[in-house]
Amino acid sequence: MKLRAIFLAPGAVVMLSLFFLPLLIVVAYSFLTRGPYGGVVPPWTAESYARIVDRLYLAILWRSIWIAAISTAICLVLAFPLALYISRAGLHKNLLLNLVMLPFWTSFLIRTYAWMFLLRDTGLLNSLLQTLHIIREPLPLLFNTSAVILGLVYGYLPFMVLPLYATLEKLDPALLDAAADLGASPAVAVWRVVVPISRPGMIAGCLLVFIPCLGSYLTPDLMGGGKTVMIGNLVQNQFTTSRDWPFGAAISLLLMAMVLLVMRVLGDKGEELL
Amino acid sequence: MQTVLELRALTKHFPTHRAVNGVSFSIGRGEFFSLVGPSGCGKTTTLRLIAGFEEPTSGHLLLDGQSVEGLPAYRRDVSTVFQNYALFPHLTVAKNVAFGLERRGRPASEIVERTARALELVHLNGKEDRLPNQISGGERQRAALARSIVLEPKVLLLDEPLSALDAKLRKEVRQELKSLQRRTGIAFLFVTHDQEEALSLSDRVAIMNGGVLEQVGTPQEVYRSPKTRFVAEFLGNVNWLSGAGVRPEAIRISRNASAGASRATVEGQTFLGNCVHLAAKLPDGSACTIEMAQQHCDFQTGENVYLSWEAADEFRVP
Repeated sequence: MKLRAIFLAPGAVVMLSLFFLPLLIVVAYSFLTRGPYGGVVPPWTAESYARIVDRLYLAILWRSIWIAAISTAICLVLAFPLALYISRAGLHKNLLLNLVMLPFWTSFLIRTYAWMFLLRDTGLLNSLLQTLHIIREPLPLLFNTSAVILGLVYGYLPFMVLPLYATLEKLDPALLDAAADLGASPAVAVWRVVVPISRPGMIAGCLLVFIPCLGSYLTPDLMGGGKTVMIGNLVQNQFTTSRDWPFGAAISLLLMAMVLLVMRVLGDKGEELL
Repeated sequence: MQTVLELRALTKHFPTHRAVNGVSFSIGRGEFFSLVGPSGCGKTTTLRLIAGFEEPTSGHLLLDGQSVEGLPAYRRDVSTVFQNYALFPHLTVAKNVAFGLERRGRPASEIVERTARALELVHLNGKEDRLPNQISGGERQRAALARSIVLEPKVLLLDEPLSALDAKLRKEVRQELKSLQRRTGIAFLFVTHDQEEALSLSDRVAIMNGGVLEQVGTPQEVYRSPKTRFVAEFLGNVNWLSGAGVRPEAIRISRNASAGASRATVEGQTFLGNCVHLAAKLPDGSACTIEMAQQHCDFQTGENVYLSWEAADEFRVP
């Protein structure tokens, strides 16, 4: 008993002091009034929450949700065949898995700048197309919503591939033989057998992609050039330029509530289907 | 008997080995045909070639007189019962059984009716809505059978379907399998490494070894008149006495000398439950096993005895 306490203590202390306590502070701030130069002052109020129901903020919220949803959907569509292929790749399995994880070896910030270098008006892609006389004016590839989605898909694709791979790898190959044996063409076998069986992996992957996408800040800031504001940017803005900490805290908690809701819905659905 | 499946010099070479080497045999309509051999003899590969999961290196495969070369598995009118059953874990028993009919685009009413009939045939009514992991091993085996039988395939391929069951259940299921085959009239190609299973169930048995077909015949033929030493030894115990093979149960033992009997010395005995194996040694040094009922065995170790057998029970192999 004592030994267990000794081993549990460091983790518990870290979680309590570095996660739970700050979370309580965020909750407290969200119910206080904004200070003139940032920070918070009394009195207690729920006004910050009332302010969220503003058309402007609801629009940002809605945009964040659909950008995250589209990015997740694209990741799923791209990752499924990839994961299926890797799971059947035999000897090259590990090499391919390492390639999927390769981007993690450099900082996300640097990779995002690399994308900007590729996509900007004087970037590699536009210069190449202009040199080849395929286009005259540079294509607007950067600083728009599509660029944000591209950045998110690129950044979070591995988080979809890995859990999908984990479920597909366990799939008994005899099930595919059985499907073919019973008259299912390869496409039908994938749709009727592989897809339903890998649903837990899909749900895990969707959660792992949707949640960070929803709260993403760096990608919309850099790839969207500040034009595509997502909820993460809104939060950041409240703590810096706007100096409205209570409102920033309230939006953060709303974001957290949304994440919990998504996990709840997908998690329950996942259990139901299993 | 009308031929439903014919293999002509079927061959499958893998990069590392020759799994199946020029195998030819044919199966008649409604026949229970067993392919038996030790593990790695090529019997499962042969089955997979017939099912269409593997492409043969050479040779021909005819189903109902029509070549099925190049036809993918999902277009072949055969069905497989897999060793681990390969039931779809996300589908209920009924949905598993209906899977093949749905792929064939049968009308919904027909699917319901045929599924119910197939489940009744394997005594699984009442378990329709269970998932595969909610039923017992024996029930899974029967669900897999129903899933294939419901399609009324020209040939049902069974890949060691009893090996995952425990010994007692295996004997029960064996009889069910046989009766199911009789009732449906579907030709069964039954792959097993268990010679007892093969001999007790089949109309005809094919013995494979090292990718090659050793012999095809009725259970009596292959057991009593094996053509090769391998077949003789694979199907049961055999005593090699002056070049001829004799089964232990065909040898008579006596304390009294008679014409043509060989003298031997009792070396010991092994109790096997339903019978006793008596070990004896002939003057030329060759060992001999005699199988007999427990109550007839009052021979002592070191005792001199006389062994004899009918000429008809003797077989010679090259």
